[in-house]
Amino acid sequence: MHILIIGNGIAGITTALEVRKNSSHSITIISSESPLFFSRPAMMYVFMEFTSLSDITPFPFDFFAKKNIHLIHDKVESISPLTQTIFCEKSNTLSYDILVIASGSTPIKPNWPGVHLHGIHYFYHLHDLTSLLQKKRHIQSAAIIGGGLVGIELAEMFNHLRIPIHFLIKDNGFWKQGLPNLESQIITDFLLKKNIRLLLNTEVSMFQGSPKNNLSKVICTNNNTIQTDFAAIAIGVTPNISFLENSEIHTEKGVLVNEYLETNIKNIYAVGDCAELQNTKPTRKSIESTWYVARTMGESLGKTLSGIPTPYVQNSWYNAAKFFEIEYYQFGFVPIDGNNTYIFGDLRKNKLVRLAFHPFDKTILGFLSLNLNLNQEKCEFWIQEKYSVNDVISLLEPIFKKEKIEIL
Amino acid sequence: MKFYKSTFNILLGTSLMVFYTLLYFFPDKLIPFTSIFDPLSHFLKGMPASHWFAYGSLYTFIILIFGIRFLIKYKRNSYQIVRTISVMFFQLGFAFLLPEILQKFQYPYYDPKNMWPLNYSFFDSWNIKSLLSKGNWGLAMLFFGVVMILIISPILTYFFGKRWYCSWVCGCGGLAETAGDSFRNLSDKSLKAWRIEKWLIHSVLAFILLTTIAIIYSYFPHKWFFSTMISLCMASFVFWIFKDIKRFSSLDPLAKKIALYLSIVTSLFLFTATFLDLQNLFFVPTYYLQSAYGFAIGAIFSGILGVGLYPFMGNRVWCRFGCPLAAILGFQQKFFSKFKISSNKNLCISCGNCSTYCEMGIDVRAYAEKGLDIKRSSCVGCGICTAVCPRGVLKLENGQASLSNF
Repeated sequence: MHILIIGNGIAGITTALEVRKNSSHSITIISSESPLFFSRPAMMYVFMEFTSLSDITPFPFDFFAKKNIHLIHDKVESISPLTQTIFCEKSNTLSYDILVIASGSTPIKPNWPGVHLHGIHYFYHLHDLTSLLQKKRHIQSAAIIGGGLVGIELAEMFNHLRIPIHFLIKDNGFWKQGLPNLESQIITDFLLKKNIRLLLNTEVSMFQGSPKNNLSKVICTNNNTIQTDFAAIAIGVTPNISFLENSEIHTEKGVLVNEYLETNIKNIYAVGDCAELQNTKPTRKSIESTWYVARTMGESLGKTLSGIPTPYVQNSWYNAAKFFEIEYYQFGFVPIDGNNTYIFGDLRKNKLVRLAFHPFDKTILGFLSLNLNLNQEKCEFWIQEKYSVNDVISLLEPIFKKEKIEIL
Repeated sequence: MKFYKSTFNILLGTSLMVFYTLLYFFPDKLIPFTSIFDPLSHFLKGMPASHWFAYGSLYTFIILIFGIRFLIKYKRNSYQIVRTISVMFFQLGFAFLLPEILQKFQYPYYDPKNMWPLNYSFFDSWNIKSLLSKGNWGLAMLFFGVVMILIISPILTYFFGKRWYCSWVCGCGGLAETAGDSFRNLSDKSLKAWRIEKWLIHSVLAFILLTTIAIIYSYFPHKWFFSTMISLCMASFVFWIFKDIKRFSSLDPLAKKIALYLSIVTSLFLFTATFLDLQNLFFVPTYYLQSAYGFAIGAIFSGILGVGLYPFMGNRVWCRFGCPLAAILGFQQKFFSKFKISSNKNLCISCGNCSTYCEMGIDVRAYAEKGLDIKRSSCVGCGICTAVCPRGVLKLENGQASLSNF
């Protein structure tokens, strides 16, 4: 049986390696972005020269050769489910028995006037990194548009190079879609202390360019004007599925899949950022574009494809990130309005943990912490076993004592 | 940028190698350098500076300066701060001031933290004689040296791993961690390098073990007793690694065999030499072995290459490929220690910061991606993998897991 995987990101690679663990199916991975799998969240470290491109590439070519996984560096143009073939740009057609769509996301490109000027960048694909690496010595100042996880990465990257930045955030604080007010405020204050020019409640209305089509000004909705020749847009991502148009595969925002990550066509699956779940848990989304979700999906699908049918279950949510030197962890569900939560912390040290609990039976629902690295596996266990929030607090007491943090 | 970096590295590496060559083999050429340290030497012990005094002062000075730089760089990491202050303290107090002050008061040069076999001349007859000639003090120093190797160090390694020595106390480690900090990413992470490392470091260990046995044999008064004791020790060690298959499951079968053959051959030499009443255990003058070790390992490997290769192969070339003490502590760390680095694969983003900055060339990421504990004999527990991990995946542990990952 021939399994063809479109995309060599974490979802596609995890699927392939999981299949290989359990079976000897023939596996082909096709990618237009990069010949080898690399760690996308680590791109910022290559930009800052902490690591090189080869350092963020965990598996060399001979690893895949040894695992008998065939790699193709090419762009998929279209898919024909009827004949079980795909059409590629350079090479010809490829046939499959099972097709896995793991094409990931693509950054949202707004239609603001002037968005096509030179000097306007995104930070998602490998070629975004390579083009930034080429021009980074010539950037005098930068405007970063979008107050989310990638936006703050960009802020850190340029701040590291001592390039002055304007950081445009459409809400009144950092990452309002992901953090409760207090946490958002802590990060926002931290950015202000770093001498980053934060422009809150600010959106772009248009970009203005020089006669040579180079960016010269960013004009904001509140009539602020920023003089800069470089802007990076990071306002979110959307499933990368344009090549599936006219292919009979049902899509909405992403590729629609059931709990076995199967599309409407029997031998076609979708996994990772591009998959849109038809049934989701109440506190979860149908498209969750994080590294961790993509990897978990890949593990489930890999098992299913090697003959061990394994549904993808939206288990307890978790995520982690680092905002400059502030570590952020979330395990389980934490409501963004901050209702039904206890907060322990030491705000002078930007250290806190928020425990979310069920309003009726007081069972623990989730943990959100800044600069406090709780044991993730233990936290997941407490959530799963429905520990009461008071029991969890007494279990965490020694850590609170050691870290000198108190209830807020 | 890359070009300037590599040119700088070549220049630095070459100058270091030239400096060490002069230091070991042509100290006269360093007199202008040595004389700079005369005032300090006069102040400390009332005599002009020798080239070793000058070198020791410079070495300590560099550890202190780069130590401060390191402390600033890792100011938010309490483990790095404690460890670096410790290394600076041991270098200044134990390696530099204490021996000089002892000498001032006519005691033999003694740095209590410099253990055999890193201090390969500890059991040399001249050292033993000079210690014994100083009465109870000398005897206490000799006793402490032996207790350190046989009792204190295994106990500390059991609780903390070899990091208590290699990255909290040792002078070579001190230089590597401070002055060598910016070269740690240059260590080779390949499997091939790992294989070379294992063979090289254990060959050096075998070399110094056999040399030391020969040295002690040459002056030990009761040769039958000595030969029997050494043979028994070797036999029980070999018996143990063959018998306790579970504990030593990760030990290379070839390595076990070599340990067996070496023990047999050494015992044969011991009893033959004792029977024939020879002074030299391996039939050649023991002095040859000593000077061969001093020349090839002491001067060239640990000095000229050990530091000279910092800008090419990372800051732990000697510690990783050569140091026989690191080999012994590493063996203890791997098979008899509570120390490990645990990892949580759920949070790993495969970024590779940990592997890149591992000075011992351990591919930490390969373990972290699978959620495996890192229990490698070469790990010096510097904790940099934990410090550079952006997702809090790695944690240095002494046994029991705790609720927080610090």
